[in-house]
Amino acid sequence: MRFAFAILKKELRDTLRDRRTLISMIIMPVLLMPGLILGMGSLADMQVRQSQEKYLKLGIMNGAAAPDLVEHLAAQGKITIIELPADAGTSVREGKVDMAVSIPDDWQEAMRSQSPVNVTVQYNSTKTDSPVMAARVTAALKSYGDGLIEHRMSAQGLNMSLLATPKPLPQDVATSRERGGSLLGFLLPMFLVLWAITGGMYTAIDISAGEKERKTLEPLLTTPVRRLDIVAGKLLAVSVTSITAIALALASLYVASAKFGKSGIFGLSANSDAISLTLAPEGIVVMFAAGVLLAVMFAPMELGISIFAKSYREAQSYLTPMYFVAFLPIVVVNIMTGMEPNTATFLIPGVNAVLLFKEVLLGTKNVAHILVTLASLAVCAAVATGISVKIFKREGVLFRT
Amino acid sequence: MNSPCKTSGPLLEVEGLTKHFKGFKAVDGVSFHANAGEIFGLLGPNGAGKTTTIRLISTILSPTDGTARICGNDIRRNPEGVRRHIGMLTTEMGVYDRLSGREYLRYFGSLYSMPGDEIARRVKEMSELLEMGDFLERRTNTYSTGMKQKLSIARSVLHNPSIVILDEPTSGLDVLAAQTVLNFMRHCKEQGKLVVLSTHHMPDAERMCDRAAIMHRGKLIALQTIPELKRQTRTENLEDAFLALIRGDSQPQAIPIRKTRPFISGPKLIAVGLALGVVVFIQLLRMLQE
Repeated sequence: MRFAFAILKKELRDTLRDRRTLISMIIMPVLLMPGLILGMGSLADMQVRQSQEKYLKLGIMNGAAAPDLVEHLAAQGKITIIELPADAGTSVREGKVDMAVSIPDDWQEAMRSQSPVNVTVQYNSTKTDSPVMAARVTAALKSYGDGLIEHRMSAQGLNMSLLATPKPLPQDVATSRERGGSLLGFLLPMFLVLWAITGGMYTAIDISAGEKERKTLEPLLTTPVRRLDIVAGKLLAVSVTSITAIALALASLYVASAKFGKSGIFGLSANSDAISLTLAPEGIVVMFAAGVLLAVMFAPMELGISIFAKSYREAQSYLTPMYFVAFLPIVVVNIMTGMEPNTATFLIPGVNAVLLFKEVLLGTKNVAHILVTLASLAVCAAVATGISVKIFKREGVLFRT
Repeated sequence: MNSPCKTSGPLLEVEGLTKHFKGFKAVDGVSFHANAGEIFGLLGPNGAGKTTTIRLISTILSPTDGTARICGNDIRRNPEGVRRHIGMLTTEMGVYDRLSGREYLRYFGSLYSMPGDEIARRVKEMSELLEMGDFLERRTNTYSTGMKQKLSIARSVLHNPSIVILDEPTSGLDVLAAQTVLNFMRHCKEQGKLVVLSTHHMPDAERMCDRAAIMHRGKLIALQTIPELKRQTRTENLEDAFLALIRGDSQPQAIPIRKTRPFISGPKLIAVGLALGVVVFIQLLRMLQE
């Protein structure tokens, strides 16, 4: 092991002098985690506020048929009424108006006979702010309808209390911490897994395919050091860089959550009462433990794959699928909304880390899940290490021409 | 630090050394002995099997058949012991860009289990011998080819090996840098080391070698002193002798022993593995949901 440490020391010194590794190992994790938290929150906030404050260009077709309805809509504030000659749908699609309300010709007749009548509301769902705007128009139409009912009932001498039926009153029982966790429960775990991969990736390529390309591998192989020690030293170097990336990401996440998490900067904080995210130190410890094992699992994979390559570039293209392999489970888990993860799910490497990170962010403490995850990752790391050592001992791989 | 070689016989004994690669015999039953204080040439055209022979001797590759002993250490049984006695140098060998010359040498010294003061002493010696004093502290990415070559020379003999193996050590070097290498070989010979020089550059070989083994298509076709080689082929210089020997070697082209290529290549394997992984993963999720 003495040689392994000598190799580790050299590889780390080498890697610390490389700008590429510094970016992926230190700068990105430190800056991106708080950036993500702040950015995500304020972005969502800004969008909602923008579409609420935006002047809505509302097209009206056949407005002459219902002047009092048009007046009611215009009185809503932040609405510009535009009279449309015909073909409301095209105007909306072409973006001339944000939404269009079409009043039927038999409006007056229906009002008189008190029969039901449809008002078509056209909008474009591909526009991000369309739900907020549609809500504003629907609310305005409803308030017009309510006024109409009140008017008709009082004309008949009836009291409005007749309409007092049970009303649903939704209440979210999730704590503000849980809401904060679930908002970022997709992005933060994804980025932690990302650091476990990218943190050591450049080092892995540099000290395997890079050594081949620069012809420095052969002198190393002529030293009395056993191949096992060489692989061990290199694996340690890749693991250490990945772990550093994860540690820095977690540290900056912890600081960010302590500093901004409670002040309600997360998510829709300006409107709802504070969605917050606070991380307990023991949560950080659990996440770090899983992160270390993730790093130790990915390190031999990266090293084993890149030693196949003859050059740095070739290794990079071999490693690209690793992102795919790592992120596919995360995406699938998040798409399958109905899936309630049971303990067996925590056996799947990668997925288990994401689920565990999510649990920690939500403030759940499930010891079984933690233990199963750590055990599963440890076994996978051991298997990956074994395979990578085997690969390194094959001369056909080391001297591929 | 290395114990000096104590064997009474030849420093290097090669016996029936054979190496098969996919489809052909790169080295085919090569045998020879070489002694301390000798510069031994391993000559042959490109693809003759010189580099493979050297990689087998230095235990970077393992032989298909046959063996070799270095200072009594068998390459199959004690590869680490073999490597302790060998110093390797080729122009192909690179140095670490982001380390200084001194850091580079210190790293290799530690891999040869040399104590710190020993490394410092040897680095000083080599630095004086090769005139590296003015650039040893600089990072090697600022070095010229000649400087890198000097650093590689220093690395190859830092641990004071009994055998120095050089593979095309002067190819691509200018006259001055090539001279440094040749002087270094003479220096090693004076110190009683065995120098194995593998090259296709005949003038160098003629000037330097005491004996030469000629390789062609993986086989050893001649092993003599240089004057004897010239006498046998009735030629004036080694280059002509070499050509005469190669032409005389009328063996047919190396016959492939196995033509089949592996069906599964690296990229294919990755693609299939990925596809399988995705399918298995989705199935697993379905099962877990039920």
